[in-house]
Amino acid sequence: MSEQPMTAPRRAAGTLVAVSAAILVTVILLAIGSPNPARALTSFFLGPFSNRFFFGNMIDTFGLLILVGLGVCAAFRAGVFNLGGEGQVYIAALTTAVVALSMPTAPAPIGILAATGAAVLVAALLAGLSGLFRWAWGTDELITSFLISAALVPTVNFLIVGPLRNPDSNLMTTVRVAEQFRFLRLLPPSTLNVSVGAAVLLAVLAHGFLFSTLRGYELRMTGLNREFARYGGVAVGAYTVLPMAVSGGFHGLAGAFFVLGTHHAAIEGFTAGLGWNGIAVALIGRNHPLLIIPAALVFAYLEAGSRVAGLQTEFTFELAAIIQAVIFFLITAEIVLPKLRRAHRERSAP
Amino acid sequence: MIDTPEPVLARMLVRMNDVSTWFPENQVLANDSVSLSIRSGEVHALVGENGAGKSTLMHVLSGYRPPTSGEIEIDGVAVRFTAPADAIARGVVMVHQHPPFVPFFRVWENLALGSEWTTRIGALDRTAALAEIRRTAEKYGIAVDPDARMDRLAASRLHFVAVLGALLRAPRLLILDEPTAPCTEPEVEQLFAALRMLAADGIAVVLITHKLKEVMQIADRVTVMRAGAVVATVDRRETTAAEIASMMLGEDCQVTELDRRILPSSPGGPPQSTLELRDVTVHAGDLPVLNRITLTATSGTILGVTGIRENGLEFLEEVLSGTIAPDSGTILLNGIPVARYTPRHFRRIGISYIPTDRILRGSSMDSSVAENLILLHRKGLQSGGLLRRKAVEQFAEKLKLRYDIAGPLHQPMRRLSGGNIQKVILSRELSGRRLVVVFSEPSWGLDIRSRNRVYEEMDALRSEGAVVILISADIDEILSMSDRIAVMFRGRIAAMLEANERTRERIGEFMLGVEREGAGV
Repeated sequence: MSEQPMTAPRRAAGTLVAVSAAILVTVILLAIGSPNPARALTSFFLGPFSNRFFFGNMIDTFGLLILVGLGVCAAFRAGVFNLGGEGQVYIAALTTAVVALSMPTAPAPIGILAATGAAVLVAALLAGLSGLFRWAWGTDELITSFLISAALVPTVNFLIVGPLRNPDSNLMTTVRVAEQFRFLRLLPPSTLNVSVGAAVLLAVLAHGFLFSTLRGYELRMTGLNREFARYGGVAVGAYTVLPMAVSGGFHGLAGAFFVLGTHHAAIEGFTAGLGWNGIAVALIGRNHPLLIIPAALVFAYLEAGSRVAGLQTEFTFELAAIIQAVIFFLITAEIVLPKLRRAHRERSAP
Repeated sequence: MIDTPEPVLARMLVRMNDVSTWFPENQVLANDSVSLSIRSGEVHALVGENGAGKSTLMHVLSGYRPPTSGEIEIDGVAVRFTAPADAIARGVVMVHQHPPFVPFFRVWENLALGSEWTTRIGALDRTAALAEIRRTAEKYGIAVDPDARMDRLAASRLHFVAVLGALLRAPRLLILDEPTAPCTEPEVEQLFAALRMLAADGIAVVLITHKLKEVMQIADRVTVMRAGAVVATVDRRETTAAEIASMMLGEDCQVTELDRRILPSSPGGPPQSTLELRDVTVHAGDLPVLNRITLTATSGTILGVTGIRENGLEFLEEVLSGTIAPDSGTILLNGIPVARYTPRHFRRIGISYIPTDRILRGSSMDSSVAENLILLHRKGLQSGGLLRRKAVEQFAEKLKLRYDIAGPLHQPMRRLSGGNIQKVILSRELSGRRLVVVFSEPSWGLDIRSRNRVYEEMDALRSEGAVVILISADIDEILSMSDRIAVMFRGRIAAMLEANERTRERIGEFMLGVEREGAGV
């Protein structure tokens, strides 16, 4: 019952070309943008493997990227688009911190469950709201999810630097959550923690859901041809609202893990594009839960490389940002453009 | 322009010789060795049912599409058009059925596109444009304000603007594709007056239409097309509307087939079901596209509903499948009004439906054949929410064998031919017990074998006691399959014919509204 993409080898080759092109552009940028190209290149490509700290952080990012990638995939498979991942991750992270801080003496399982559950719920409601608007009034969920998210980011910023700020810290951060809520670190001093296992497990479960269950079938049919699904008696309204909520839920989980596993507090701007990167990961992974795993790894590696290069050499933070943008651009262009072209051809056909 | 047209007697302007057009995308031969001649100064009506190949033929003549084979001569010289501009340069201008415009531009701005109304510095010359448009409009009595905004005009005026635009290109042959569709009676008169003036000036006019009344009113000669080929070209003064109608619809059909329909209905008398429409009305904009439709279909019979496309068949299909809700009126199954007008609810109460649009509605082209087959039976193939892989495969395999569906079940639907796609849809819709089955254009694009297969299934459903409704614009299909025939014209049931009172000619007349002429419809 798995899908049968017609030109799977060609599409895979396309992705490979895009990723290679991204790496090539990175090399060129490093070579011309850095005073010491050889050292920059080495730290970019080998840095992530040079010690436990860098390697562990990369794998930690990998887990988070899987979650946001699954979030994008959940909506996309049903034919809707959640463009608000960034804000959803951010507010979920704050929610986690707030709930955890409000019950500092609670036993670990209760505190973790409450904080994570609240984060997932908040993000799911926000994304689900966009799905609801789409279902009720046909409002474009792409726009509403983006706008809601865009409004959330400064709100969360305000809360972190204002009422919820830890007065004892120089950073713009909340107080750190209680010890017992923090996930077990696997490779100290890196931030890698047990949550990465949960992320991989969820990807496998999502795959099973999509391709082996009745609801997964209905969801995919809705995404592939809404008219066909409606004609077949599928409740397409539900498959507009719920996948958006589930998408938000995955982003919420990423936000919760980011606090309980990675940073132990909510810090201003700390999600830094995680939500956006989820779109890139889902696109590289063809919105296929199992392919999202290697896609997240590739993306985590490139990100870690630019981070390490930025720390170790004269390589500037801006250059790292440019490289990430180039990677994102090339990969999305390779995947999105042929689709647009095909859609255009089909529209203009007689 | 090669030469100036001499405003003289009817001389040959255009000759199309053995033109064939093949659409590889959907494997359709739209024009099959068509030969056609057009004289200067004549109004030449091109008639035929939708899909007869009229528009395609004229697209070829006006350079929008190259013919697959055959040639075009203008003034006795062979020409080859690769773009509409080539045809325009030779004086051949076509006005499309849905002419494209920029809505928030003014009329003259739309018409200025591609014209030479520019000042020395290249800016648009509004004064010159307005003057020339007014001159042409006045000459032919076409009432259009060139300074009006396009989106403020009524739909019928758009065509006038398009005709005006075509006239500004100094045509020797003007092709109009269904120009009167949105027009009121006086507007039609106005347009026809202009066409007569054009003809008097020696300009040839080709009028694509399926309104026979208009043909009899304006045409000098009439060419009838059917199934991609020319049936005949006749002089209007030597023919009648009825004769043209029978040429359009085909004369080769034997009415003897009717006999097989006059059978006792539903042997043994299983529980009777009825599907009833009461005063069902649907509006598109302000116009009623279904106007107080009242119909009853009973089990063990096939109710045929026919008409020329755009007379309501499409909307009847939508209403009968629950896709759209009627604005007023009711649908009753076994005397009980249906609770909700959604496809989901219609499915639940046992109404099955084979849609006209097999690609966008009937299939998920990017999914596998198996996934397409299980759509309606998905709930029976699961346990605890998991789709049972084995059960799915067995189910799909069973349908594949029974309906002779080609190719592996895991290949994407996109790879199947039109006939096989229809087989997938039929097998899905007909497996399991159904009270009512709505077939809409079930044999479009099918070869004879697949076609007969569909008809066998319909007969089987009929004898099983299902309510069968066949919506089809194909009069042969309607005649040979239906127990009773409803003919639609302009959103109404124009006639309800029982087995003993129907002939191809009668149906044809009702379809074309001939009998309703002067009846104030």
